[in-house]
Amino acid sequence: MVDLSRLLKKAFIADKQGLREVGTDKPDKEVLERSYGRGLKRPEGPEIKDRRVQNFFSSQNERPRSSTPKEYPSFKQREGFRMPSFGSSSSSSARPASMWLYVLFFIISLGLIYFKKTVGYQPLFSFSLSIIQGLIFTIPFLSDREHNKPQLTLVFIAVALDLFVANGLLGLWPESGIKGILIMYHVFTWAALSIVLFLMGSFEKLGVGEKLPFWAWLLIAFIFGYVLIYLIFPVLIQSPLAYQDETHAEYYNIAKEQLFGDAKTLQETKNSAINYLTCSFDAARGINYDKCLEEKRIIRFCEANFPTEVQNCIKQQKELIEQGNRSGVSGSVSDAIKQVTKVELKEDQFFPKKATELRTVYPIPLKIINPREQTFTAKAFCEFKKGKENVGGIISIVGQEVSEVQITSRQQEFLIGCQPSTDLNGRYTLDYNVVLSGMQTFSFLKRAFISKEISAEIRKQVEADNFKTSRDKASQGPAEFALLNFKFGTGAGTEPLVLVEDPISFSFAVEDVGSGAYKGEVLKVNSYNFHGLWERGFSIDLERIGDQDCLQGGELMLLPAQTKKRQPSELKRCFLTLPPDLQQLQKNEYKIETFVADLNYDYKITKSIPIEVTPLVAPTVCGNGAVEANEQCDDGNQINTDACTTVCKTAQCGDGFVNPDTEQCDDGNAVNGDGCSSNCQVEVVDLV
Amino acid sequence: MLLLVLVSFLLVACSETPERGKEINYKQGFVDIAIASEGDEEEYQEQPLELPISVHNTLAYDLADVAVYIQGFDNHYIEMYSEQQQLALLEGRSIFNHDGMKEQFLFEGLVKKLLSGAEKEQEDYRVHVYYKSKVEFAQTICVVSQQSSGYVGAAYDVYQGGCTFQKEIPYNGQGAPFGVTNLEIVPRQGRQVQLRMNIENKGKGKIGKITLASAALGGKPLTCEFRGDMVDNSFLFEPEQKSVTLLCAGSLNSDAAYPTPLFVELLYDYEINKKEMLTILE
Repeated sequence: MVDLSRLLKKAFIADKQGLREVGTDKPDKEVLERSYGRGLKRPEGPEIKDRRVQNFFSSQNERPRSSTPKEYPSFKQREGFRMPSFGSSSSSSARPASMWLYVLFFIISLGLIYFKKTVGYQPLFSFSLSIIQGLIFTIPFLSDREHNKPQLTLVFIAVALDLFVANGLLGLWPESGIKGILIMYHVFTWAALSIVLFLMGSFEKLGVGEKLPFWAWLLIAFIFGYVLIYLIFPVLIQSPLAYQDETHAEYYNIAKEQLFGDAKTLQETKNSAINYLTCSFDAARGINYDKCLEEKRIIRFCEANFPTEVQNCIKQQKELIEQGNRSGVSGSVSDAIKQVTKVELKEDQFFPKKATELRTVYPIPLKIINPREQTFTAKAFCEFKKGKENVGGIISIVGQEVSEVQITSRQQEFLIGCQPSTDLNGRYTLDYNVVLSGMQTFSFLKRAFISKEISAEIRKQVEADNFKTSRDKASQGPAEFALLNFKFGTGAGTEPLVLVEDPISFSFAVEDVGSGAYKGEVLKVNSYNFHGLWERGFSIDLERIGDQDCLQGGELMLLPAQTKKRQPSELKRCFLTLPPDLQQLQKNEYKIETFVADLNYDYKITKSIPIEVTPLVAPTVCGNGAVEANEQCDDGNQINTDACTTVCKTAQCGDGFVNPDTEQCDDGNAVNGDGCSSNCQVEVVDLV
Repeated sequence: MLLLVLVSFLLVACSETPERGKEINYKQGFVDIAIASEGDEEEYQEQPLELPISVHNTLAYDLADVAVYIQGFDNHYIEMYSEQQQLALLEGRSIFNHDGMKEQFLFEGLVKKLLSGAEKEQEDYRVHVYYKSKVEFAQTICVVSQQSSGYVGAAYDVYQGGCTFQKEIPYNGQGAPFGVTNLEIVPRQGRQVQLRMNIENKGKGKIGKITLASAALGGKPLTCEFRGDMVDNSFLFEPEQKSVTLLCAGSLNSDAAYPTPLFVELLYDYEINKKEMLTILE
């Protein structure tokens, strides 16, 4: 820690060296002597005029220092460095800013965070906030810009980064792996900056900081280290998250979760920097680092979510971990289900990839194969994109200005037309979006229930007869768009043989398995129903911690990261109680059962097609009386001395033609003194 | 003419002799009962199910308390109204019933609906048969006392009094899934002999418990015990256990080697299962 303090001190001093030429103040001998005490070599430094500076940590000023003078920077190194001035107009009269300024900064930052917590995200609003906040932070330092360069630079960097993050990175790469970090920066940047400025102010007031006592260095190093760890550890250790379409309030929650590691599920709960630090110390004492972190994570989760029954929660969560706690729920598509709903959005040979009409209609067939005769709706949207330019499209289905159709038949096909709302010119990407609302799917999972007293031979036979491949052990569903994955059983729930004497864990997830020539996305779950389980007599074990609605429930909004292919996140989990007949299995008795669950969801498919619009241009004819491209005028005659010349250019001085209405002469040049002036007036030429 | 009669006699004599030999040799070899599903291999969804299961006793002994179970049907697709049927006796092969008795057990149930969009479903299930039966080991063996043989532990054969003493004799079953596979005769001092019988399960099923019903050498009872944990006269097989040794001690009538009948009767519980398959069609 001492080394760190020296490093920080050196870094700070190095920063000052670049500014030493600016200062004009002279050191006050008395003050310096008082500051450094007798018997110590007094470093040369600027005169400290402000009494508040002298009094800041004044008790420390009087204390004799044991460090050698060589450790301190020279006066010249610090010469010219100034405190931020407030209300002063000249550098000579620059005064250090009151510490209250930084406190004010911090309060304003908190206000901004509060705004971000409550107000919906809009790029323009976010942009304005960053600019306003930047101005608030900049103005106090402007009066002494020369001496407040570091502060101004920091503010400038903060503004630039905030704008870049909020209006650039977050918008450009909504699926970015570091989005969580970007959001954290966006929400907390100004609070962090105010803390940094406060620390810089403290350094200023302490006269480059050499009088800081050891404990103060320790404190500063700790704060820096803490901030650093918060910024670095999430990037290095925690798995990156992707977010999309969050409001500002959601951004705040995401950032808060990132920062404090609190979450509603254990899987999402993260360790704090303190946890990492303490576990590092514990590891040095021989305690397993990973186990220590896991334990602290459980404690955090239980304290945040079950404050009244923390111990019980910790015990049960540890039990879960021992049983193989896993966040993902895998599943697979079934080969047995042949009747699969398919939706295809694919352009045919009539699609006008190159158009000359500015507002042509772009038709695309929507083919729906619905063998299970589901009832759902398909709503279409379209948009033309060209760089940052977005042109909305007007949807028509089968020639009618409707954007939504209901699907009920086994096979249906519609022609969706998209017409731009304004004229197009150039290359665009045409995005068709079709939201399929109320899609229904199901999945099934086979399990064998056995008693602990089953013989190894029968156990082997049961496994060999019923679970030949790993696919048989997981839930399966039709190869459509969303797959309802679920698992239950002993331990993590992935083992197909369920020991009826053990706790039965259950969890489910929704996986995006949409494939084909388009990009898809599960928007939300409308309802889920594990009727195969509850109809059979399974119930939620209320004595154990878990989601009370894990077998049946309503709407769940989903983020793309939660439905990731092959790695969907667990949405609900709980423990189940078996029906009595399964609990009472006799020795060597076993039962095989398949359980079915239903899912109702919304899915969006997107099809992007590049198009090019090149307007037809008729050949320009000068003299036909119509002003066309590259013509300034066209009066339909062949007279050069009127307002429009024969080359369809507006008559002007210097064109060589005399327009009697406005010109006395026109010699075709702009030279004066040649008889015709540059403004086409006759000149008297002096021939001498 | 005489030649023709002679040839005919020879032909008849030669062709009938082996038949007679077969009839009296049912109690040899290792034999399992035969289980078969005699119903259709394919059934349509949402239809009643009739599943006839036949059990054929090809053993040389009768089976008692025969219980037939159906296990392993997925309850989502098949519902069985009854999963178990019993029969008190199923006769084995004998001179009165050369083929052994075959019984059909009819199991009834319901084929349920397939999953939406599925065209077929293959269901594996198992037919388990539990029964009680016995196995007899009846052989004439050559015994000799240690005094006469000079037996000191080393193995050697002795010929005395009209029989050849063999220390170890291998056997190939007694018409049941398990039986004596090896007999070791160990002469002891004072007209005593120890018989070590290796009893092995060579069938496809599992033995639960074996009980020694009787054991005699030359008409005199033997004192026997199973090597390992034994309760009364019974021995419980561990699930994966395939063999056990039966140790018997008997007294001899003479110091000289002589042939004498050995009879051991074992009662046992047996369980065997067979995998079957049923395809459900849409």
